Amino acid sequence: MMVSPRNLMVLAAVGMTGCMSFPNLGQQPIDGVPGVAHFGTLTPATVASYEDAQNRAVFGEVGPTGTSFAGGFTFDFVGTGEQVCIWVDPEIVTWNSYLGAIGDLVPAEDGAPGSAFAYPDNIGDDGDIDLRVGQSVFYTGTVGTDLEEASARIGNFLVDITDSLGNTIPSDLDLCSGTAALGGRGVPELCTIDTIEGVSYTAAMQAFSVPLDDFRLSYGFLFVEGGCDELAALYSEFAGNKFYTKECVLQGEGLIPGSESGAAAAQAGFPTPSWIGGEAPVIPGSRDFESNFCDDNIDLQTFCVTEAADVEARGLRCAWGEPANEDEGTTRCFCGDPSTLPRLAD
Amino acid sequence: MSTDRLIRPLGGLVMTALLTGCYDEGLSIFDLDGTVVVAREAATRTVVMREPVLDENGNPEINPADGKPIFETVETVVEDPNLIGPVYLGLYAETEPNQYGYRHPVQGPDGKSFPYAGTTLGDFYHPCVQALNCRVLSNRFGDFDEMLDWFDTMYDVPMVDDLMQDITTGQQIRQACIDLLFYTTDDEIRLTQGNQFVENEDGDFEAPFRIWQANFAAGLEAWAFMDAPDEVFGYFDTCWPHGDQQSDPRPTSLTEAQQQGTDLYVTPAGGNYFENTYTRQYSVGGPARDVLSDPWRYMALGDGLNWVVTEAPVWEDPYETVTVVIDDNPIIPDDASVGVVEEEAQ
Repeated sequence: MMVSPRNLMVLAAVGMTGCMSFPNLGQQPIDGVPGVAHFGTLTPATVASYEDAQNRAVFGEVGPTGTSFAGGFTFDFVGTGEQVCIWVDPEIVTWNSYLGAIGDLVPAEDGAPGSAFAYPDNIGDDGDIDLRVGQSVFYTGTVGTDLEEASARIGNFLVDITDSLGNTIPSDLDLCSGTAALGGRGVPELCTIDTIEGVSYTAAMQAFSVPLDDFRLSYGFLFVEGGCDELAALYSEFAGNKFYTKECVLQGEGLIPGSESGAAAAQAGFPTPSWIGGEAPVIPGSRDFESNFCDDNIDLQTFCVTEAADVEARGLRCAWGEPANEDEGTTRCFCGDPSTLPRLAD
Repeated sequence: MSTDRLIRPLGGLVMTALLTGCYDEGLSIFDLDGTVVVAREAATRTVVMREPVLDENGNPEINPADGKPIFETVETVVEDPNLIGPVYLGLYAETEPNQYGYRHPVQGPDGKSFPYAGTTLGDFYHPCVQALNCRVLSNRFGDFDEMLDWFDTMYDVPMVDDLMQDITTGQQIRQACIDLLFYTTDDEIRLTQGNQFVENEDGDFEAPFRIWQANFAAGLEAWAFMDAPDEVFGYFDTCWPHGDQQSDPRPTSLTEAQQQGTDLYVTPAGGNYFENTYTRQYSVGGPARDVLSDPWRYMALGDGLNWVVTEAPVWEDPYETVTVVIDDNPIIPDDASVGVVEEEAQ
């Protein structure tokens, strides 16, 4: 079919107006999984131990919004004049494969593993969440759960202020900007906020990317009194003060897709699906995987080699980048495909 | 004469006129010129040294009780433009005469001061030897011998190289630069241009400045402060002594600062220099990155006095020059804990 110059001009004019919306841009929404979720107004939990913190953790899932806007979840809280900590951990963990000296990759004769990150990551099962917190009055999004309110949208705290010369200056009023609330795919983000008594705050956790295998991003978050250092110290005490990464503090955020909401979360009025503490439907083996990853005293390669051997023994293969289906001979693997690494020395 | 023969030269003239700058693009970008004047008091200091007592023959007097030389405390008043530390000059929509007890740019809701433009007089470059970390600036010394004499005169600390050998000639510093940085001329090292501040007829010191490509708006206030070297070692607070690879005990967030009993904290350098060559492994410092956005964090730091303008001249016409005067207006740190923090840092 020939496209006439006139039609091309019409198309160009429409494209250049800039006011079109693209409701179908990107991945379609998934039934039962919100693109944007809102947990209402929360009160920070008081936690005295690591077990306390695990029991007070909130878990949930978000998926694609079906629009050109990124999804995520939010909650509000009112300042008490004290510090609070928000700690969010997206599914699950990500690492860069070690590409150093080949000798390090080869297990020693006694079977001791090589480098901790010699094995590749399964890059299909990880997502990323960006944490922003600020005073609610500056929040540019629309709080709500998009399954109930179509206008719900994740925003930020970037506002224009006008100086005394009448000029406008964009100002980022995200209280977590430039703090530890920075992290790549699969990495927890955390932020300690010095609150002002009586002031309303909004925490906005934007789903920067969802896992490529099923487009459902599970997550866990903690909202507690005190600084995030104090929260991390609880884990440190629990773990015997050994070396660990922040991935350890909140574990079990890899959730079985399609699970029903937990009773406690439903009673709390949290959006569907969500869970509180031990009622979260954690993917079998997920906690063990995270523990191996975050504990500097354990070698992750041992876990990955064992996982690969187990999958082979069961006559299955890993479903990297797609949902696992054991009827079709695939299973979920936390570690990646070692054949993607450079060839080892003979 | 044909029409063509008339139009072609005319077209050429029009194009020439456009290309030669007759066309006003409406940009508000200008190179702004002016002068900074620093009060003589800011370049005056009483130096306290422990000197051996000499007998009439010029030999050290010996204490008969212990057989050791007798020392005395000698105080010398030094007036020298080399005592002028880095001058930070910014253009702001507005400044307040008593923001912190001294004139300070007005801050936005996130605490930032939003400079339109700015510059520094004296920069931190790679100082070539660890002993000069955060103690030496560009545009102060004429040559390396003068630099060495200055530090020997002002500070009771012997200058040593990275192998802890005494530095006795300026050539040793120059050679360290050549060895480490692969430079071949002093111009490349950028530490020995001579002092840009010269004494004026009032006995104060002044230097010209140019703010390149400033975003100009009529009514901007030109504001400046001077970071003076501390009295014990000559460190500058606006220099970040340790980079990412070595920790600095100074607090880097409000939370950390409050834990140490102060509200003052610093931001890591934007461009820290790190030396990692053979046996040399250390941070050699770099400029802090937010001095003009958050000047208050640096102005009251340290045990040396910092100096600030009393008046901020208003800049109405970008083609005019302004004179910014840092007069006899020292900022005295009023928080005793700040001094403790700095002592630990050293």
